[in-house]
Amino acid sequence: MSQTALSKPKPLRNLWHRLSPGGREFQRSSLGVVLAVPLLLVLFGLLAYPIFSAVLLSLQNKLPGQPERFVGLANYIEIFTKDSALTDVIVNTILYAVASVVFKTIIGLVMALVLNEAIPARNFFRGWLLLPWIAPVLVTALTWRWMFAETGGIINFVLMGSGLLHMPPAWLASRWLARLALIIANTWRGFPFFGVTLLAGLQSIPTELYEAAEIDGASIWQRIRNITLPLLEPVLLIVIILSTIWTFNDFTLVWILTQGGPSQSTHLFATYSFFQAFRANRYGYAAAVSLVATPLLLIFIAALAPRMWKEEEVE
Amino acid sequence: MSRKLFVPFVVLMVASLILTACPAPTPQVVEKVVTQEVVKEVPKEVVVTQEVPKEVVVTKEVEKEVVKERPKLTMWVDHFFFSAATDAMFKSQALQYAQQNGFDLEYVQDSPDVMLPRESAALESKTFPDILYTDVAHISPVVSAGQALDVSDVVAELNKNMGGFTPGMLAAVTLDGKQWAVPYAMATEEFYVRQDILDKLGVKYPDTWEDAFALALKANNPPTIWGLGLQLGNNYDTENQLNAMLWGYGGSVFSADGKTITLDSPVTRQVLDMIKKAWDAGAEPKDTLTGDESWNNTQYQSGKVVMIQNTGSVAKWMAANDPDLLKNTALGAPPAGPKGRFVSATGIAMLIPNYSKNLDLAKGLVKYLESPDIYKALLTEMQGFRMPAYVDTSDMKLWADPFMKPLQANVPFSFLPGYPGPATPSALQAYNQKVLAAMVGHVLADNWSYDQAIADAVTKLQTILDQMK
Repeated sequence: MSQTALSKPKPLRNLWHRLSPGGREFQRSSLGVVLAVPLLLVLFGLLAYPIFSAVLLSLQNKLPGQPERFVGLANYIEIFTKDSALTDVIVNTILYAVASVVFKTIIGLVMALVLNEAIPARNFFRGWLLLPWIAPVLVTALTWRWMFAETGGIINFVLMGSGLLHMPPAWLASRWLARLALIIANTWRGFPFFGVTLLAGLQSIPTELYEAAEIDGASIWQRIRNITLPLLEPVLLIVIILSTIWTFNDFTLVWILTQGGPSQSTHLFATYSFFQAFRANRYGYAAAVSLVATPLLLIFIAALAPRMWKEEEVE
Repeated sequence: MSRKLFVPFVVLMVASLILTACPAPTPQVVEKVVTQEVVKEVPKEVVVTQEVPKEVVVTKEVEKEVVKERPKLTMWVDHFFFSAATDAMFKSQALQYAQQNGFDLEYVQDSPDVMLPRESAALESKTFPDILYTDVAHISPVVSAGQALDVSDVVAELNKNMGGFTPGMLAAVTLDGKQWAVPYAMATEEFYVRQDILDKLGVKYPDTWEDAFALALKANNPPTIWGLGLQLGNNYDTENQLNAMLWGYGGSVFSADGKTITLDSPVTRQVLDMIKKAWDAGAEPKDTLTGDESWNNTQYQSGKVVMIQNTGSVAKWMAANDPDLLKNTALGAPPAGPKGRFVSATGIAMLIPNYSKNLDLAKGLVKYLESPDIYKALLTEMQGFRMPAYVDTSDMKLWADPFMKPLQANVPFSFLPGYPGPATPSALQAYNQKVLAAMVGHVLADNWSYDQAIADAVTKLQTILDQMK
């Protein structure tokens, strides 16, 4: 065993050393810990009860007004063996979340870079571009539904009026067009969050770095690649993680635009779970559908979290 | 945050976010209208001390009057009627009875979005109001939970009025030979066809589904106008439309005893085939697949489709907003199949929970609301938005209106999900799950074969039967 390995404290022992009542971390912040205990207890209660309740429900056959019947893993078995919607739900949820977040990142980054420059009416644009984010999602969704309508929708009106098309495409009735429409609507709604957050991140980057790079003859692209993006990465990672979780669990936009259709091709886990619970009255099955989504999000977070830890260690 | 703390924190956060997608059916408490002030009379106990001669003091209770608290009933109405005036009339009828009979009535009315979660919670917690005015589709879970009062006596009494209840409505509230709710009204449908286009093409009003599909192809001229406006999305209208077509061709979802799945039949394939052919010919706007219940209303009202099947709401809208379109509209019975003409209707009924503390008052209020004069007054005010649950209301002037007559004529052949059997919990659960809508969706959107789509539907139906055992 090398000398280095011996000199390093074991992680568990290190944690105990820091957090035990005699540990330096505990002594340093004992008042903070004491003050945080009530909040932690409330948080634990708020989180633990619904989780436990949902797991329990997912193991039951529960119809409204009838006593629960324990069915073990039957709901999960049905989801994976009989439910023809499962593949669509998984594919669509991943596609919707990934594509929307990618587009939101790109557009948000461009927005942040532009608004970080000294352009005319910058403050006006900063406020104005926030509108999609602050508008009620119900209004946004209904507006997009009208815009994408096959008959009488503004998009088809423009496409046909300009002579580009002779027959109106059914945006919300074709499997892939409906998915595209949802991604467009979600991107439109979500990019300001990226833009504003990244703008805050940009403003924390010292201008001296850009000045030095400029003196050294770095091009705009080189400055973005070597200064902006690396220093923006911590903010970017947080925004991506948050947005992915929100998009993954999106409900309103999808429900209003397509109700999970055509057929079941645009259901997300949230809409499908809602459908099973409140349209099909199968609460246990709905809980199981919700819980099936958990591993997917955990895999995603597990993939991104090490990068965040790396950033933390660098700091 | 350290790595060690980060993992459990993230796991808890993610799990809680996901669980928000499946919340428990928490009721949304809406205290809409408390119609009368509760006049509580405090029990009075008056003790008078009376002095009598001979220095004997006797305390005598000369008056001890305990006045009972006024009874209070609660009534939930889980949707709005066609107009605010109808809402007001129904409410005032109920209040009038309460006033005449010395009780207070808390009358709560709101949209299904608000009330249905509340009903689910009431079912779980046994806290239904004294009277629940609701869709018959919501009755069977209450019956299954053993919370509904057997109201066969009320139904038998009311069945003597206005030619008796329609067979469809009576079947819908009957389980095991007993009636568990009192039928009130039904939402039957009529067929809307553009008369100007019929005239232009020189064809007659479509009497059969074959006629209707032939007309659709002939009149189809997208993107100006599409031949058909069938509901084919994931909604109740679609389920109604497909049920009616199946019945018209002699098919059904369940057998007459309600215990056997009968969907996998040549008739189902025939119906799917008719729809698919019209679909492939482009006779139907494609976004019907993601439309909601109002989709066909807006399509017809905006002049985009030649024919639709709907309740009287479209006619009412046209009368108020587009009289020209109404003039150019032929209203009539839905097309027939070889086995007859059917409308898949939804019904409204009034249910009384068996734990109500005011059973007699609740029954009395229900009977009052369905007494012929009161009932017909409301039907007239509704102007066809809901149709009578009774066979004979032909003496009403309302039916002289040419736009109302077809609706009234459709009442006798309007049946509820479950036909040819009763509206069993399984039949209603299949209706709620929209098994037929999913089946046709697979055929049209996913290009599944008929066999594949039917097999998937049968699997779902079997699961429902198993769960309902």
